[in-house]
Amino acid sequence: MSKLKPYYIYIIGILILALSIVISITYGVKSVGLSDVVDAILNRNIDAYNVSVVQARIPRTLFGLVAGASLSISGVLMQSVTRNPIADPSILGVNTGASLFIVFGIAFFNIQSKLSYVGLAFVGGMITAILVYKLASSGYSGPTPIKLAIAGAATSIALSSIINIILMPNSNVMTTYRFWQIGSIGGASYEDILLIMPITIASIIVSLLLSENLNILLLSDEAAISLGLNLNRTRLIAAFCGVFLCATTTALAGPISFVGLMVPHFIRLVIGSNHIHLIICSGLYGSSILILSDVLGRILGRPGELESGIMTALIGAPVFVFIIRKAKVQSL
Amino acid sequence: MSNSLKANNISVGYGNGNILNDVSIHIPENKISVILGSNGSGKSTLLKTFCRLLTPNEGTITLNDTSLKCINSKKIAKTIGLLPQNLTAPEGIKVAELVSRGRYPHRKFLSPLSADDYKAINEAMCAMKITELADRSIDELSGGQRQRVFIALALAQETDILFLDEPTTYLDIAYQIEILDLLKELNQTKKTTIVMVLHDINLSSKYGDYIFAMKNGHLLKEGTPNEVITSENIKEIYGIESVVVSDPLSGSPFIIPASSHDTVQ
Amino acid sequence: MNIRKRNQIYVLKIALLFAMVIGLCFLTLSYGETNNLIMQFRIPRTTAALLCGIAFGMAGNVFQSLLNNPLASPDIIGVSSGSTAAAVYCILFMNLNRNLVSIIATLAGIFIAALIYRISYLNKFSSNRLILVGIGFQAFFSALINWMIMKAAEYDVPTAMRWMNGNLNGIVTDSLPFLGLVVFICFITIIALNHGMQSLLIGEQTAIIHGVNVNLTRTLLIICSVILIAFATAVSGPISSIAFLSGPIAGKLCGRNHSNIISSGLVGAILVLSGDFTGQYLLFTRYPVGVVTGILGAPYLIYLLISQNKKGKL
Repeated sequence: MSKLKPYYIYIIGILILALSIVISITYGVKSVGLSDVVDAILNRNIDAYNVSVVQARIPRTLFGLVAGASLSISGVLMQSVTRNPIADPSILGVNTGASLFIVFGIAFFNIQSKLSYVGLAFVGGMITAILVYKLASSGYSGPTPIKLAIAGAATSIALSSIINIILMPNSNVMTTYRFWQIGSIGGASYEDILLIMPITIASIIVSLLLSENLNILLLSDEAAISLGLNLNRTRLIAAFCGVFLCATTTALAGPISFVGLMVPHFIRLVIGSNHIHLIICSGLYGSSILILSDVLGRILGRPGELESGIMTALIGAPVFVFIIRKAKVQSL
Repeated sequence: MSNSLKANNISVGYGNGNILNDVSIHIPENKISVILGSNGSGKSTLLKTFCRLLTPNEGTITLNDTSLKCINSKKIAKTIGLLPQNLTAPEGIKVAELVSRGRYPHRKFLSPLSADDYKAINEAMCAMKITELADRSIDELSGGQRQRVFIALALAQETDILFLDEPTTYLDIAYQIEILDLLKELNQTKKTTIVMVLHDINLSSKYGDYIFAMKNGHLLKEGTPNEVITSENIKEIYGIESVVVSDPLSGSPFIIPASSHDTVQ
Repeated sequence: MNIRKRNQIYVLKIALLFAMVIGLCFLTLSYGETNNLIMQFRIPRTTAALLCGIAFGMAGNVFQSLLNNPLASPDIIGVSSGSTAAAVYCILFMNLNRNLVSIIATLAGIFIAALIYRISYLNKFSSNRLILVGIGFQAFFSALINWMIMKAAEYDVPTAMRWMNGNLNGIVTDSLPFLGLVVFICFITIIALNHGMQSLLIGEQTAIIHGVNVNLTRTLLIICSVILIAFATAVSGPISSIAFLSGPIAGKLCGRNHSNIISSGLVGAILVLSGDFTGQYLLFTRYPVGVVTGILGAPYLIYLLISQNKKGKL
């Protein structure tokens, strides 16, 4: 089957993204018109109610944009590094690892700053990702999808019980945690976005630079080495970027699952596995998906809202099942 | 008393296409029969149909002239046994315990094993020479030992008719001979009717009293090894040229396939 | 021949386990201060621990045996969380009577089990695919449960904890007789199907050859297990790891040769009783039983994973 030209995919992606941004800003419990949006951007009529609604929605939408792209690209990287179609921050337990470290920081060191959250999330996520990968690759057949999924699920269960033990005696930490662990892009502020922007942009640029190497990595270890690729360095850098992208989002928004699983999967179906296109398109469409599921959550959850973390799980879990069904029995 | 098992004009298949077409077979009582045929000829399907793992789309399987469908399931299980291909055992189970599960059709509701059960289990393990292995876990056995345990499982069922689906696959020649010798002994001492699918034509003619040759879902030839294993029939069944000589040890027909690279005329 | 002797030893081991359960019951009832008022709380609590433990233990073991995989316990493959989601919805949003909740949760569980089976059945059954599909379902339902807890119990942490981990605080006494009856009926049914299940464990073909009614046996077993899970969950919440741990522990203690129905039920009861006791008295803070058993289950899960990998079973 001939894949569609990436060119069209880019254009469609940009259009969808633009559309979802507009929807996200205008639609919600209180719908506003486009003129209010223009007012808000040009800083006119600041006192009008509608304008302030828009101003409240802009950071959330921007954060959705960044987070969606980060999570999807993180998914691409992890899938390529492990050569495994179901690798994803949530499946690999990175989210839970990040949660554990953050809870640890809050409960025992009373850490409050967002920047240290990001650092803790990164360390926790990285350790967990390595642990899960090591667990899954013991034995003869290397890290097959089933082993990776089960190792991830097992580790998540293990880490969650540690989280519970820490949380139970600290009811104030627990309340914070319970809301955080649902995963929502609703609480983001401009400062948060500014905080993670440099890390995110740097990671994305590095992964784009790596894309040629990742293409070769997909072949097989043997082929990659004989083509002269520094296997371990490529893997390490890609994994680093992947965990960074995921950890920053998780630290601020809580665990948002399955975006990194489903977006790259469909993009790969459409444009194949050339990483330069794969990464860019996953970023584009990932942003749209997260923003749109946030909007959907606002519509379905009225009068309150359904957090985006729940929305992506509700949409993503069936997609996961669908991917499993498609995978051949031998590879399971 | 010997039980007569027949297939009457059966057609079997999955979905629309039939794998077996209009096959009629009468299993010779108290004999060892071997079903031969190329891959995909319907051997295993035939075996599975006899053992009611598959139901024929048309025709019937009859036991003593009663259709299998009309006989109580456990009653059939006391007459017909099967050693399927690729058996797996529950992890960590002990040999004796696995063999004892073959007693299922004989056991009463909720009751523990009876004296008869113990006797049958013992005999099955003796016949397969695995009594010393009774306490070993199935995971630690070699391929040949494991296959004997699975045959003992089928024997413990104490059936008059025993089907075996490729009992010697994946075993080296020593184990193949060992297993087939044990089966022959079983047939001679207990008069058990044995029907098996084998891939090796020469072993089939050495051990079989009667041969069924299948091709494309039809029964092509049947008869004693001497009648069936001829170079014309081999050509018809497998599409290869061959020379048939006499096995110097048993006198049964022995085939030597021809290759296009053979140099001696 | 020593099958007979081994069976006697097996009976002895069961008796020992049973004695342990009785001992633990007395311990939990009599520990510390005792007076009539306290007993009024303790007796239902101990009864609930006992019944839920038996229910989770037996049900988990049946699933693991039928799917021939220690990882295929209902709390990993999404059946439990499906039931839990239904129960949480009924209790938190519809305020239904507990027994009705149990029935709805059972139906939901059976439906989810059938759905997972149907989705993972592609041309032929694959236990691995079933586990993966189950993990997907598990993720789906946990998201759902999390959200419902968030919405309903913003300030009610104990309720939230019950539905996340399982908890024996504030047991509703009137739900216990019904749970007891259900556990008893399912126990009898599973025992009655035991011989057939043992053949089924060797393989479907073998079971047919032995004259087992395979579909009936399998369906009844699964329905019984789901009923057990759903009723116990409606009382105590999903107590982590019990369903998953009991079967393998019973197997280690009593050997893998029996289907270990009774022993896994008893081990389940021991785990819940001792977990609850530990959580209440032996730690610096009072932890609900689910947190304690969760901590127990996690390292075992990882150990299992490593040993399965080593054997190349995955």
